[in-house]
Amino acid sequence: MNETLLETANLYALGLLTEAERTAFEQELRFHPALQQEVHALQEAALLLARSAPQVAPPADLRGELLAAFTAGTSAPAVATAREPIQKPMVVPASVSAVPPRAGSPLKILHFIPWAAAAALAFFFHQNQLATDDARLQSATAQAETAAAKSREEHYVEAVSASAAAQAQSDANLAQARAALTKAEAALAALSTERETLTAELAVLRKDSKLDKTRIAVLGSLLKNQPQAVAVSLWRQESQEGLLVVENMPALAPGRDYQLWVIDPNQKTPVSAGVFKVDAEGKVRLEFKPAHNVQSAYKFAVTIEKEGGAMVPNLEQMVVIGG
Amino acid sequence: MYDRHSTLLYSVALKVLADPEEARDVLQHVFLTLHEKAGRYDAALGRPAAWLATMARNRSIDRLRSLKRERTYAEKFRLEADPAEFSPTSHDAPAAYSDEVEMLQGAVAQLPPDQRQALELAYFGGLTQQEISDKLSQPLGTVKARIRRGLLKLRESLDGLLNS
Repeated sequence: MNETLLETANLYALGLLTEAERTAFEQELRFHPALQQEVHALQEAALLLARSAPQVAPPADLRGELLAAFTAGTSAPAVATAREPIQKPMVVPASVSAVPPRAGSPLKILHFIPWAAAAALAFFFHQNQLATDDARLQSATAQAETAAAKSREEHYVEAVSASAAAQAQSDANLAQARAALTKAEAALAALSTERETLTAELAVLRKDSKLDKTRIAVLGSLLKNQPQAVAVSLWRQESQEGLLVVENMPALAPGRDYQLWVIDPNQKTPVSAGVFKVDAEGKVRLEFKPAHNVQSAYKFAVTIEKEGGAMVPNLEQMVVIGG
Repeated sequence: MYDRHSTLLYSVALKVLADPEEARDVLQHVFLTLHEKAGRYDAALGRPAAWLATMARNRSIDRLRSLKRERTYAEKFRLEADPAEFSPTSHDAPAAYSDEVEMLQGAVAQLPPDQRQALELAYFGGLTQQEISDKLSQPLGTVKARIRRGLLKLRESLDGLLNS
């Protein structure tokens, strides 16, 4: 629906169109169900404006006056002002003389018979016309109310369907959220268990007074094709002993070894701490002791060297480092 | 039909014309027209209540314009008619206030003042958008936007009331 049509719909609902514009728009409206729906909604909104006026009941006598006007048929004036109230129909029988009976005549009573008959006839037609017009109005308005009720019912059915679809979507979202929550709770439980295990191990280590004197270093991967490669070094300065745990390290070509180095700022070159290979899963657990005394283990690094190791590290082939 | 809608239609006419006698004439006209044209009612053009309210409003505006030719605008039309002046005590029948009416009136009262003013000038004052623009010394585009947004807000309020 284009913007111009929507703008016109606004003006139509507010009664701001000229008669010609209104007629043209109503023609359009009859063949445009989506526009009808839009206009009806806007009219309901405009009705709020109407209802915002202070609500005052009309004068009580107006109802009866209107009903009387209906009996006069459609020839009654479209508008009768309060200063010129709607005239009730007056029926004068054609067969009756308008001349009133003479007073004192012995046949005076007979003169009233035609008048009485005419009055009765007028009353009968008046009542009959009243009933017919009222029935006509009731029928037409009932028709209108039925059409409106049907429209409202369709609107409600659509609303209920939309609501059901939204509810189904909401239920699906809720189920997803619940599944995610369950998963998160399981992960949290696993982490809690792991934490408890580590805490217990830590307690044991502390009890043995080993951990306080042990340096732990995590060596991160420098390999672009194996970023998850990792190694952890546990180093005891006092005894000059260490333990290297490696995971996710790629297997080497024949004739090659990994070599562990301890970097000591007090020495010109890194100190070799042994060579190793990894298993099929890229793992190894290596207890090491450097080739000579280390005053300060600043960092640990692993390089790829020729089988059996080298005296100095090939820095271009460094795979992990950390401290 | 009369019992159901006459208070609303009379109130609209009274708000526009600020004259009980003129409002009475409008109500007569609406129901006589309804009597003559009810068979031609087209549900595509709106619900009966909206259709009747529009008819009452349009007839009132026509009458107001006619009166304006006879009297000065300032003397006759007052946008903010004092409700007390047209209190139920001045008529035989009591006013039909209800919770629903108060709720609906609340929706209009909650509109931003500039939107409400533009809508009332259009609906009850019968002013075109250009006339509102001139009266308020605001650009035409601003007036159009206020009317559009105001009507949209009323529609949203109505949806909210129906769903509550």
